[in-house]
Amino acid sequence: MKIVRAIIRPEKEDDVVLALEGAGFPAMTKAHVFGRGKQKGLQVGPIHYDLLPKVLLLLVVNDGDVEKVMSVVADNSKTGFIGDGKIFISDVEMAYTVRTGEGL
Amino acid sequence: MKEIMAVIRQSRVKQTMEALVAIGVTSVTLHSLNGRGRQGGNIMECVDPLMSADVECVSKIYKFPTPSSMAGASKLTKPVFWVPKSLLDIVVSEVPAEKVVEAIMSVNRTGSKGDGKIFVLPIVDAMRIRTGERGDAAII
Repeated sequence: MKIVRAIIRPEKEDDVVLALEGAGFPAMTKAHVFGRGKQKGLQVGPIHYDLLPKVLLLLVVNDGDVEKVMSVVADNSKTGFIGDGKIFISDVEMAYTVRTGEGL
Repeated sequence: MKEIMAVIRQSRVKQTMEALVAIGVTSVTLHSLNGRGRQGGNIMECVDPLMSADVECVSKIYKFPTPSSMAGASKLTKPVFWVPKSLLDIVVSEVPAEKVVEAIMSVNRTGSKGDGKIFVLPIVDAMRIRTGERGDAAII
C-alpha cells in the first residue's frame, strides 16, 4: 500500500475530489495548509506573499492504483502556471479499519 | 521507527490520549481536518434526511452512488461532503506499533461507520532539534 499526499490549489479541490470519486477512490482526508515552493511565495508588485493557501489531500491506495490516482489528480489540478502543487508517494506498512479491527 | 497515523472521531481524542499515556506514548501531534470514507461522506445525515436511500445514480462519471452523485439527483448545490475528523501522528521506536494500534482501536471502536482508519508507515530517520540527536535517541 502507498500513501498519496497531493498538495493542490484550493480552487481545484472540488474538481479533483469529484474526479477521484468518479474513478472509484471516494475515501480521503483533506487539510487546509499553507506552503511555498521554489519561487519562495508570490510577488505582486511591492507586496510579497510568503506562504500561500493550499489543500492537502491524503489517500491510501493499493500499489497498482498509484499511477491512476496520480494521473487523475494531475489532470484535474493542472493549470500550467506555477503553484499547481506537488504529489508525494510513501510506503504504508499496514492499514487497519477501527470499526472491525482487521488489517487491510 | 514507525509512524502511526490514526484518523479518528473528534469526540474520542481525549480518551485516546489517556489510553496512549497508559502504554507509555506521550508525544502526539494532533491535526483537525476533514475526511470522507468509502461512503464518500455521510449520505443520510449530512445531505438530505428526507432523501430515500435508493436514489438512482444519474451522472455517468460516477460508478458508485455517493453523496456527490446523489447531490445532482436531489438538486443540491454543494456536491462534496466532508466529516470533521482528528488525525493523530505518533512516531514510536521502543513501544511496538501493534501495541499502539491496539490501544487506539480499543478506545475508538463503536461498531458503526466512521470509526476511522489507522496507517503504519516506516520512518527512515529522526532528529531532535534541541540537541541534534539522530535516530532512536531522538524519539525516546
